[in-house]
Amino acid sequence: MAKFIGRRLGSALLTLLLASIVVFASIHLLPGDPVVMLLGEQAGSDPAAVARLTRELGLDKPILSQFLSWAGGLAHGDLGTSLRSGEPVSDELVRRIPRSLELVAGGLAVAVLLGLPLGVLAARDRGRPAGILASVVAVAGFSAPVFVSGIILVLVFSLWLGVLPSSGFVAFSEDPLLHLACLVLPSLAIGINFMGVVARMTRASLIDTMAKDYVRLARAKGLSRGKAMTRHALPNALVPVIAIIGIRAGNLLGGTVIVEALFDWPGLSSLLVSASFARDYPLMQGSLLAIFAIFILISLLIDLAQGLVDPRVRTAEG
Amino acid sequence: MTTTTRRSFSQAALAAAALGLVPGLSGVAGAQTPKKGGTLRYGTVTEVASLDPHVYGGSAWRVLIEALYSPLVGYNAEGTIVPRLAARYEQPDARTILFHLRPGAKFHDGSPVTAEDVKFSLDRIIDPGSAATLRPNLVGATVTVIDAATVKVAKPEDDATLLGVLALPEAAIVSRKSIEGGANVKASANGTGPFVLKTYEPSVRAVLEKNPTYYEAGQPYLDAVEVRMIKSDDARVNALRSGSLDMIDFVPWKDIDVLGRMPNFKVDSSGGAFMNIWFNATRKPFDDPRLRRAVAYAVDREAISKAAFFGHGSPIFGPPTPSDSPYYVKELDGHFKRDVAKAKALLAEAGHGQGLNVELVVFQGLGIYTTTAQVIQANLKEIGVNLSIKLVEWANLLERKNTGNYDAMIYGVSMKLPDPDVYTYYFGSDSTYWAKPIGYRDEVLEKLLAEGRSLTDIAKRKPIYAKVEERLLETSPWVFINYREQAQAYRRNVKGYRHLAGALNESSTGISLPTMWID
Amino acid sequence: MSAAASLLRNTDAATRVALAVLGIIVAAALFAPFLGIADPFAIDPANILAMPSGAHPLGTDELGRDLLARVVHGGRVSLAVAAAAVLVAGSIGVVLGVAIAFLGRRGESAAMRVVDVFVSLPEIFVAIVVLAFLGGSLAALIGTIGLLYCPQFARVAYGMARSIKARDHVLAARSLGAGRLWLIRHEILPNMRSVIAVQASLTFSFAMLMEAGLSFLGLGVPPPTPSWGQMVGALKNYLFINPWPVLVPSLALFVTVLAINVVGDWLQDRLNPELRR
Repeated sequence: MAKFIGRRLGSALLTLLLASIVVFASIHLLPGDPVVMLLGEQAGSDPAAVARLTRELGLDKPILSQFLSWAGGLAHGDLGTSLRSGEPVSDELVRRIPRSLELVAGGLAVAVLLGLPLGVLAARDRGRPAGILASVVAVAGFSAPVFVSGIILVLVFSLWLGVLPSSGFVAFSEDPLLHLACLVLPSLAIGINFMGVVARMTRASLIDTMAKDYVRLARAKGLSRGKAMTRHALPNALVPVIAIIGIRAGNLLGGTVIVEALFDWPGLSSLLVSASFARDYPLMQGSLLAIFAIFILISLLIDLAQGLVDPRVRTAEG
Repeated sequence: MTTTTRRSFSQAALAAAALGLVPGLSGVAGAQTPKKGGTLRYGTVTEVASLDPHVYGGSAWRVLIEALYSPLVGYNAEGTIVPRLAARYEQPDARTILFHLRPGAKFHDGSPVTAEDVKFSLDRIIDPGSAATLRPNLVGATVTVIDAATVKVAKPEDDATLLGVLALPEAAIVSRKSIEGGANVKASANGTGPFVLKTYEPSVRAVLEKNPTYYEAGQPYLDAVEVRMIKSDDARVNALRSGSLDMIDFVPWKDIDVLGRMPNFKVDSSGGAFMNIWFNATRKPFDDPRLRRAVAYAVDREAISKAAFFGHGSPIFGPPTPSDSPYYVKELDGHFKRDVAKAKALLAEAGHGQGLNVELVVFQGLGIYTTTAQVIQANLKEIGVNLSIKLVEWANLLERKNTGNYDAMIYGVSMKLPDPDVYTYYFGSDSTYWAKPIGYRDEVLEKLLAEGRSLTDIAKRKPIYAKVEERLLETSPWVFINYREQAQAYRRNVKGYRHLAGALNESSTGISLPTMWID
Repeated sequence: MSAAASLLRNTDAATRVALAVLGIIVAAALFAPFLGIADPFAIDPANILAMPSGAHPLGTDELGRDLLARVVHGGRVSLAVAAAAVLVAGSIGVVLGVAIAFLGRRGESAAMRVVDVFVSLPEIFVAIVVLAFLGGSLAALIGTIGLLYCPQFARVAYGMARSIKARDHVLAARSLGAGRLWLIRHEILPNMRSVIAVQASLTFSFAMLMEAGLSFLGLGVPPPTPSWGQMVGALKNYLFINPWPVLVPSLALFVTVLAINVVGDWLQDRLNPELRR
């Protein structure tokens, strides 16, 4: 087991390293100069001012040496300072990461709480109206672009019913209730899409498992179909569902861009977007790296969890 | 001494007049007695990422900087220049100002404001290669410490705008000790303003608290101000409507009438920045003024005002001088009333009667830009010009602007200075803002502008600036489209706010804040 | 053709409805200029954000343009971008995947590691970078979305190629001296067709959503050319003034993706039963 963990960790670190090189290179190739953005619309076209600030920020050095000094800092846990605010990038990340994780967690909760029952229903009543309806709802959730479901949610809950704020963010420490109220609609917007994925996966996996010998045996012994499904089939059917959730949870984090923009949620994705628009290199690198690290961490955890549950995974790795 | 004082007063009045300042459109405080205490929750569209007081960073930046810092002199709500950190000043000639510092003024950390701090602050702006917004206005200026409480600022030639420039919030006085001590001026503030920075999260939120040692006795009235940066228009408006904010800036144009009709809110609105088409006037095809004028005649400014600004974007048919300014020339207004036939004729004269394909560079992030662009596109199609719209990010737009890499672009311009000399800032061949990157030079215009700048008498300046504007319409390096109204909305219990028009518009909150209160 | 006919025989009601809907949408997109609808570019600032009326069956947008015409022409763009992007992603991805399968053990794992990195990149970020390079245009949008999804194709193609390579009769053919190109042409590509078709149908709906998302963020086709995502992005700003206009392109997008997904599911069942878990 230790060997398995070591191997997974090693490959996760390797991925992270490769990713950071790709990130660094692509960011520096973007058109638009961070120095001009810092200097603004007027001083930004003054060559003297541009040259001076470029030198001050060390942006005149070759990209390779910039990368090495950044990577050197990274090795010591130093992500640099934001070009715009002069504050350590890590401070900003520490503020933003929990907010994005909260959004992902909210979305996941919605997806699982709605998606699992929907999937079970679709499998149980396969071919019957209830099951077909459940399947259609699942595909519909899966097909609605996040911004479309988001807009419809705002329309219904905020404009017509007036029960939830249409967007915004309030710190939990200031007003816990309002904080949670602000979290509801974006979580739903993310969750509804993901709900479709969970429901479809649950349905397919459950149908497969129900056809397995041990479930058939249980039924032959006189267990009702419903009991066989919940007691024997469901726990096993959930393994691939968990895997899918793990894979997609990381994606959700990168994909919160639209939701954070639509609901004005100051998370990691909106930090990445605003840093990108301002060409704040260190902040871009830091936030992307954080997104990557969380992504890789989640898939690592899922791998390990699966390895624990299913010994075959441990050895199957080629 | 008396004469110089009188001179300075007349100059202040001149600067105020130049603004076309209509004293507050909003209800004036009146006879009500201010109530002390309370927190103002203010929602703003701008994401303030840096608090450097010398580098302009949007309208919310101005609110924060005016609350946290003070310049030597400043504007009041009437547009008059009044003492701030300088208790008084004298102008021995039209190129020199002597500032006498206010005794007892302190930075937020308790240290006194000295002449050394003033010199350090202004030198930080003047320094060639500095990013400071006012650097171009102060080129060649020298700052001399006369004694611990006296500073002399001098320019190499007569300059009627010097005092007005130093009264802008971007001329804030910073503490030499804390900056040289390595304080991060982008994320912290050791100023002298009515409020102290309590907490700050870049692009998200800032909390200000009352400065107990503020030099204006009894001010500010408020205990605290919370500034929340909410980029989404709907989110900002909804936060006000649901009561989680007391006041918002940049009321979306579509909501100005809606909020104005609600009994518990007040909306103050006035013309602020103005929208333009900028041409690269030094390369084909727009190096031909006839073609630029053709565009000016073809654009349907009323349609833009309606579609992009919901009627809150009064068209500019002449030069961008409001009708209440002393420099307003009636004969020039209405110059470019829409005239498709004239536009076609000019186009043919310029040799493009067969049609023309050009590209318009447009910022992708704001609906007013993309909507305006599409109306212009439809307008120009009518005269046979095929305009393709190129949407770009802000960083890309700035790069294009700075390298002259565009045929035409839409650019919103806020009033940079309360003086018609602002045309130098826009069109002077030394202006890094627009003219310099494309190498544009209009010697006729520059001669007129230099003449205007050296004069202090408004009666003498007026005919010169009329000629300046006439020249601008004739050459049309920019097509002026419309003013975009800037509106603030607030709950009725917010008192003491005065909405200012013209160049001081962005300072409305900053100027009002020390004497605002919540009833 | 007969394969398609036999495919069609085994459809359920939902699939038939979905196919019909898709057919109508595609036909409307293809024949938009001949439908006798209004000019999608004609502005009317006096009549913005209007509700449906005789002159404008679906109302008007923020510039007073006819929404019916915009949504039909917008579908043209959305569908064409998605189709072209799938073509780009599929052809590049398959070539890459098959090529990697012949790199030898070391090269294979190194190349797949790189592909994995690209798969794990947050898609929107990649899109922002690439679009910033190329600038907003139809070609740039297609290229970007195509590149985004080519690693997925590469993965699938690589997996298939590897497993086909290991089949007994292929090993036999190789030992008899069959060259790589022969193998690819006669064994690998033909056997991959159904898997790639399924992947393409999946990618098509992803590509539509990605185009919509990018356009929503303002990184899509330049105005005034309509696309559904771009229309939603522009009209959502007026949600609180009049929610009707934004619903029109939203529903068009939703219904189309839904229909594609239903048809995709069915395709997956028919073409590739073993993929269905």
